[in-house]
Amino acid sequence: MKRLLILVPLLTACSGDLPVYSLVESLRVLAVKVDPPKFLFDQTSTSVTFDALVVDPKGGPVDVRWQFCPVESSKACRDYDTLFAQASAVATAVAQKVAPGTTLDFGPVQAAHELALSGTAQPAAADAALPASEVLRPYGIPSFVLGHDDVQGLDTFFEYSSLFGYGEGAWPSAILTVTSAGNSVTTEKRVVASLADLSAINGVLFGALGLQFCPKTVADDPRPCKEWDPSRAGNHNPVFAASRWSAGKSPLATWEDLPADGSPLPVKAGAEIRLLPTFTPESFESYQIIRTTLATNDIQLEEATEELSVSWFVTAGKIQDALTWPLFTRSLDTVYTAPKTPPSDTGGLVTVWMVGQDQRGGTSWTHVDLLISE
Amino acid sequence: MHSRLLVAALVLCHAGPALAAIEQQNRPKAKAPEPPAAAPVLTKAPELIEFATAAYPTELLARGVGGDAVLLIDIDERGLVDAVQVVSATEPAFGDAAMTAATRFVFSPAEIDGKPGAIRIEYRYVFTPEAPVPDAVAGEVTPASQLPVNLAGVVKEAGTRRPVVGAVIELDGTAIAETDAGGRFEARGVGLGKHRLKASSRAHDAYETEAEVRPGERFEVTLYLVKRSGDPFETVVRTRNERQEVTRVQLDRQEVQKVPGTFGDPLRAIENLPGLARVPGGLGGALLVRGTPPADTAVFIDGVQIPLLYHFFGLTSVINPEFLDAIDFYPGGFGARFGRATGGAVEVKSRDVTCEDWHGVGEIGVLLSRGYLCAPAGDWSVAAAGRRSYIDLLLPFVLDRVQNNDPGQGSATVSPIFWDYQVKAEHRFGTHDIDIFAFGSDDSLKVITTGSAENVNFNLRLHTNFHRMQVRDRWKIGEHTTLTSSLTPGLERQGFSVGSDLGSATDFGVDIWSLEWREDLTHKVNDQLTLNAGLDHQFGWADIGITFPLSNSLRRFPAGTFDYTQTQSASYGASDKSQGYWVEAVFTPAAPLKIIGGLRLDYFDFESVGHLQAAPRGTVRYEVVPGTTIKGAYGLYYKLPQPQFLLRSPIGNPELQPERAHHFILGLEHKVTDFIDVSLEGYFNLRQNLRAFSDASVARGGKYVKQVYDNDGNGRTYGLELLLRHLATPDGMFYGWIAYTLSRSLVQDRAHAQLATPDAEGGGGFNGARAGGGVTDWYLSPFDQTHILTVVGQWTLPWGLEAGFRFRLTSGDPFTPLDRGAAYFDADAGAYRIDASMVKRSSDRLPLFQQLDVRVDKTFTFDLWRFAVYIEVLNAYNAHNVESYQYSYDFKTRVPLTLLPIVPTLGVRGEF
Repeated sequence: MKRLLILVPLLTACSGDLPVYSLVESLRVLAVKVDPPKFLFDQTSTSVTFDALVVDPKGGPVDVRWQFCPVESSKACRDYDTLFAQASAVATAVAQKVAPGTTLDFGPVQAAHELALSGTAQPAAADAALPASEVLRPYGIPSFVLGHDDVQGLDTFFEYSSLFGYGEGAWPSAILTVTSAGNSVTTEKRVVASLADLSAINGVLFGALGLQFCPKTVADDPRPCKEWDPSRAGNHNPVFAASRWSAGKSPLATWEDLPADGSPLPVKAGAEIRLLPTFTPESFESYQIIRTTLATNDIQLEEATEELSVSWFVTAGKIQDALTWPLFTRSLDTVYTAPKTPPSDTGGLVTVWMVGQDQRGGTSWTHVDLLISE
Repeated sequence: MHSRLLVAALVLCHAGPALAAIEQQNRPKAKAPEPPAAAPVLTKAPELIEFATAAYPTELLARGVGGDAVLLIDIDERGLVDAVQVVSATEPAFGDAAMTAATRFVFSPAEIDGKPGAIRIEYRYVFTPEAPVPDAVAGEVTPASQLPVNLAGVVKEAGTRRPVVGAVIELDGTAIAETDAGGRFEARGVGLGKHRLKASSRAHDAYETEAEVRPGERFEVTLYLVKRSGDPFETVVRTRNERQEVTRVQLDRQEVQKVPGTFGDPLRAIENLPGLARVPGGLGGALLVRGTPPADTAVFIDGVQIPLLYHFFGLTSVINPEFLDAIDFYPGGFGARFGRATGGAVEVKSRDVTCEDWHGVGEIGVLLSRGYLCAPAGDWSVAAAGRRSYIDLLLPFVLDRVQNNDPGQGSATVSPIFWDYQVKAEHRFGTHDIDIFAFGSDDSLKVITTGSAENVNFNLRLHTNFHRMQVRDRWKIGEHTTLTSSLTPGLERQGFSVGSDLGSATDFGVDIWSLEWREDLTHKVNDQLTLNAGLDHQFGWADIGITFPLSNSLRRFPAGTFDYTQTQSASYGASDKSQGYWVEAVFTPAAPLKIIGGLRLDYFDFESVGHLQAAPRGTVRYEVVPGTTIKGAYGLYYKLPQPQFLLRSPIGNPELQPERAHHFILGLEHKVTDFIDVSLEGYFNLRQNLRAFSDASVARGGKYVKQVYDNDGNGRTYGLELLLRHLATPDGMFYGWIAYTLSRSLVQDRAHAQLATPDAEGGGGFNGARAGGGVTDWYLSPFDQTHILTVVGQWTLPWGLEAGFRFRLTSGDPFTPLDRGAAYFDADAGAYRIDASMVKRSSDRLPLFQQLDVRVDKTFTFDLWRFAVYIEVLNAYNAHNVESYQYSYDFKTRVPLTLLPIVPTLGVRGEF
C-alpha cells in the first residue's frame, strides 16, 4: 500500500526587522464591526450597520470608501464577476432541480454590489482644541448601513447558491478602503445572512440532506427531528465590561481596577504590567450549530456557546500576545511592556486597543490609556 | 638447534633464483588487442622494484620437488599489480604460491607512447628446493616435513580481529610461511632461541616482534596488523559492477560513509549525486529526483518498499550503516523490476550477516547514538542494530542560552525524536540462503517553548513509524538460475494533530497493515542472453481517522487559528491490492552491444477501483571503443497518487487515474583511467495524468459531490547531468566526485486556494481553479534548480587521520513573491490575507545556495578494538543561505530566513 505523506514546514528563524502586528505605527484598520452581526432575511425590519476602528499616529485626512459584496469572496471581492457567475450557475441548477421551470432573477445581486459609500474622514487631532495626545483617537469613519430593502431578493440567491451554508448562513461582506497619503488599506468584514426560521427550507433542502426540523414536514421520515430554536437565531456583538490591570507580569498578581475617571494609568518606562479585559455575561451567547458527519453525510444539530478572543494593539511599547484566547493562550489577559523612554510626541501617552470577537462575526472594541513616565 | 635453523633458511634460498630470473623472462604484452592503426608502442618496460617472496609449499619442499609457475600480471599505470593469473605451473601449489606473492610486487610504471600506462607481462617464478641437511645432533638427515611445529600463530587485523589472509611471515628476515584463510601460520624446525618475527601484508602495516623458541615447546603468537589505509573498520574491495541500466550509480558503503554533511550516513550521500536537487533547509531528508516530488521516488530495502528513508529533518536514514551493503540509485530509466514510481528509485541492499565471532560497533554523537552487534548463533549468524536521537533533550538547553533577556520574546521550536532498529538472522541450507530481516523506525516531533511562548497553549503532534519483517530465500537452483523469494508483512502508523490541550483543530491518524510478496527469477540462457522475471505484489489495509477544520462548503464563520470547535471528523477504511508482473531480457549479441528489454504489468486496485497498466522499458548500451560507451533508454512508469488523495469526497477522489511518466535518456560513459570515470547524460521526463485540484461537482453514488482532484496535471523535466568520479583506490588514499546538473522542471495544474498562475502575457489573473476551468500555463516546479554542483573529496592521511569535504553550489528554489500580491485585512479572522492572483507563480528565485561541509576522523587502533574521534562541521564558513522569506503581517515587506548556521558536531566511535 502506498503511504500517506505528511509534510510539515519546519523553517524557523529570527525575523527581527519586520514590523510588529500589534504595534500601530501607520494607518491601520484595527477592526470592523457590523451591528447586529447577523442579517436575518425573514425579518423585514432588519438593517445592519458597519463601523470601523481606524487609527493613524501620523494623522492627516483619509479617503473612505465602503462597498457591498453580495457574494462570498476570499479576495476582498476583487473576484466578484467570477464568483457571481459561478454562484448564479449553481443557483440556477439547484432551482431547476428543486422546482423545474423556476427562473431566478439575479438583478438584486448586481444591484446590491453597486451599493457604496464614499467620503473623507479627519483625524481627531485636526481639531486644534484637542491636546496632542488625542492624535491617538480613531478616525470618525462614516457608518455603512444596509437595510432590508437594499438587499431585497438576495435571500433567494443565497438559498439556492449556498443552501445558506447548511444553516450557517451566507457571507456577504462590506469592503472598506481607507487611503491616506498614498497608503491604502483594504478590509473585508462579513455579515452572516441567514433565516431566523430555518423550517422555511426544511424538507426540501435540509430534509434531502438528512436534517428534519420539528415538526416534521416529511411525516414518514424515520429519522428523529431536531429542535431548532428560532429565538436564538440572532446574534449580538460582545460588550466589554471594565478592564483591569496588575503590576508585573505574573498571572497570579492581584487585579486592580483602572482609574474610574478614565484618566491614563501611570506606568514607569520599561515596566511590565498585565492587562485583563472582561466582557459582560451576555456576551457569551449560546446558539445552535449544524454539523455534518462526512462519512455518512448525516447532519446534526448541536448546542454551542461563544468563545471570545481579544486582539491587542498598542501605539508604543510591546504586547506579549497579539491575540489572547482561552482556547489558545489559556486566558484573555496579556503582558504589556512599556517603552524604555516615554513617547515624546504624545506627551508620554500610549493607547492600548482591545478588539473583542466571538466566533460568529460579533465584534467590539475598547481602549486603555497609559501614561508612561521616567 | 643448528640444523633446524638451516631448514628454515632453505625456504629463503628458493627466492633467489626466482628473483634472478625476472629480468630475462619478463615479456611485456599488450593488455588487449588493439586496432592496427592505433597500436601503442611500449617505450619503457616496467621494472620490478619491490619483490615479494613466495612461501614454498611445505609438502613440495619436504619432498624436494622444484618447479616453476608462469604468471600473467596486470600492472596499472602506477606500477601496482592489478590482477594475476596463473598460465601454467609444474605443480598447482607453485601456481598458488607464486600468484599470492606476485600480488605484492611493485613495478616501476611502464610507459606506452611515452606516457605511463597499464600493461600485462608474463612472469616466470622459479622454485628450487635445496637438499635436506644432516641433523647436527643426531647426525641423520631429517626431512623437513617431519620436523615438529614449534612456531605457530595467527595474524589478525587490529581492531576488527578479522583474520589476515596471505600475510607473509618472516623469521629473522627470511620468509617462512604465509597465512591461510583463517590467518594461521606455522613453521617446523625453527632454531631455538630468540628470533625476530615479522608479519606483513599489502593492506596492513608490517608488525615485528620477538619470538623465543625453547626446547620442547611450541611458541604460539597472535599478531595484530594495523590496516594501512582506507576505512580502518572496513575492507575496501572496489570493482566496477557490470552496468545494465542506463543510469545507475552504485555507492559502496565504505566509500561514502564519511562524506561530510551526511552525519556518517551512506544513504545521505545519495543526495550528492547528479539529478538530485538540494533539499531546502540545509540538512536534507528527501529525494528530489529530476525535479519531481519526493513521493514519486520509491525506496526499496532488499526489494521491500519502505515509506520513509530518512528520519525527520533528514539527519540520518532509517537503516544503520553497518547493515548496508550497497546502494543503487536510479534517477530514471530503471528496469521493469521496479514499479509504482515515476521519478527515481533507490535500492538499498542489506549486508549479509556472516560474522564468525562477536563483532560490535558503538557510536556516540552530539545528536544521536547508535550501536551494532553481530554474533554467531549455532548455524546462524545474527546481527542487530539500533539508534536513538536526543536532540529534544539538548535543544531546550541551547535555546535557553541563546534566548535574549527580552521578556516579550519567546520561541516555539519543534525538535525531532527518532529511533530505529534492525535485526537480521541468516543461514545457508544447501543451495538456499535464508534470511529474516526485521527493521523499523519511529519519528515524532516535540514542541519546545521558551520565554513568553510557554504561555501558549499549543500542541503539535507528528508521529510516524513503520515496521517490516522480511523473510527471504535466495535459492541457487542451478548453475545458471537463481530465484529470490520474499514475503514481508508490515505495519505503519502515522498521526498528526494541531491544537491545544483542550482539543485539536486538525487530527489525522492512520494504521496500515501491509504484506509484500516478491519473486525475482534470473536465468542465464547462454553467454548472450539472460532472462529475468518476477512478481511484485503489495497488499495493504488502512484505518484512517480525520478531524479537520470545516471546509468552505461545510464551514463555520472565520475565526482564529486552531479553533477546535469548528472541525468535522470522519473515519475511513481503505484497501490497496496492487499486483505487479515483470519480465526482462538482457541480450548481448556481440561484446560491445547490450540490449535490455522489459515489460511490466501493474494492476492497481485501491478501494476496488482497478487500473491495469502496461509499461515497456528498454535500454541499449554500446561500447564504441574500449572504455567508452554510449547509452540510451526509454521507459514508461506508473504510480497511483498518494492514498489520502484517493479517499472519498470531500477528502479525495477514489477515481483518480494512475499518474504516468515517460523517461527518455541518452548518455555517454568514459573510463578515463582505472579509477576515474566520467558520465554525461541528457534526459527528458514527461509526466502526465498528475493530480490537480478540481472544484467541479460530480455525480457519485447518487449524490453530487466535490471532485476535489482530477488528473489534468502535467509535468516535464529536462536536463544534463555530469558525473566525474574518482573511485576509491586500492590503497584507499582518495576518492571523490564532481556532480553537476543543469535542469529545468515545469508543471501545469490548476491553481488552488489563494495562488493563481501566470497567464500567457505574464500578467497573472484568476485562471481556472474552478469547475470547467482549464489547466494553468507551465510554471516552475517548486523542486526546480537550474544548476546543481556538488564536489566531494575524501583523503586518507598518515597517523590514522582521514579528512574530507563536500561543497555545494546550487540555484535557489523558485518562490512566489507574495509581497507583490494584493493584501487586505480580513476583519473576521483578525489577520491580513494575500490575494496572490496578481503574482506570477514561482516567478522569483531564492539567492544562490552555497555550503561547505568538512569532516576529520582520527582513528586509534588497538589490538582488540578501535576507537575513532570525528568532528564534522556543516556550513563551515557560515554562509548565510536564504531558505525562504518571512513576510510582514501586511505582506508589504519581507526578510530572508536563513536556517543553518555553522554547525560543528563531535562524535566518538568504537568497534571491536
